Amino acid sequence: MITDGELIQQLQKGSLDALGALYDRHQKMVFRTALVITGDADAAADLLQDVFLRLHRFASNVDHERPLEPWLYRMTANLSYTWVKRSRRWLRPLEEMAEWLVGGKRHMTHPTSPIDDDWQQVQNAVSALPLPQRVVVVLYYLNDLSLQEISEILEVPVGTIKSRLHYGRESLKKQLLTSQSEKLSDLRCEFT
Amino acid sequence: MNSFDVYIKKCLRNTATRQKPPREGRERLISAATYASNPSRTRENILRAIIRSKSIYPIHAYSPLDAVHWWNGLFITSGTLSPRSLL
Repeated sequence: MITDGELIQQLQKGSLDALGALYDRHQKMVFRTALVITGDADAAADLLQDVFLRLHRFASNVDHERPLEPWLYRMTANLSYTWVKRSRRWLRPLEEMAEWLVGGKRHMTHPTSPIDDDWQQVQNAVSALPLPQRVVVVLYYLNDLSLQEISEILEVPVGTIKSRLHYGRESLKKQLLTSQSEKLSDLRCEFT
Repeated sequence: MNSFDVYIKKCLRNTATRQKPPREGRERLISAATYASNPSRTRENILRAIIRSKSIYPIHAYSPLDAVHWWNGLFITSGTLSPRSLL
């Protein structure tokens, strides 16, 4: 099978087929990472395009002898970061207004079973984390990267990554415990 | 990894794998990259083409103006072109 490095070399010579092949190979990883960081499937689809268009544009700067994944993770994390910050400022108030007007709330997934409900709670808890912690939590849990790898991708010292993961994990525990106890108290109310 | 870590990992993966990237993603990418790599196009031509062709809009753009802003950010590194002047 042709390697990523060989495809990068072809892309550097202008081959769009090579770009397509790299897209097919890595699209799921980029899309899922962006999806969990942003919590928005439409944004994740756009960010996926954005990441690969930047790969096309900056292909000459990519070292074909090094693995491509760290470059893709870095670009995905940076672009998702920018998207979240921008949407917080501009899109969120408009979306909330739209949701209020149509009288419903848009969910990334539609919980139908207790398992779905658990997933949704975890996604909500992750979305509530401060952005630097959220990115580390996603790269660690979703993408299975080590602290060292995350530190190299984000260009942040390992100690900082460790502390972001620690505080992120504590915050997730707290939020999930709170939502569990709310659920239990709701159940108690239903039975009394 | 303790049981909490395993639980978080499982939930996040299940949430992420339920949604698939858009099917037409590769075609959109190649179409956009073709526009970008055509040396005969000036940046203004590219932006005018975006306004005419919905096929290379980013999904999240709500209007031609949004799309122009998005492409502006992507392609234009030196100077800015006012998107409004193109509409």
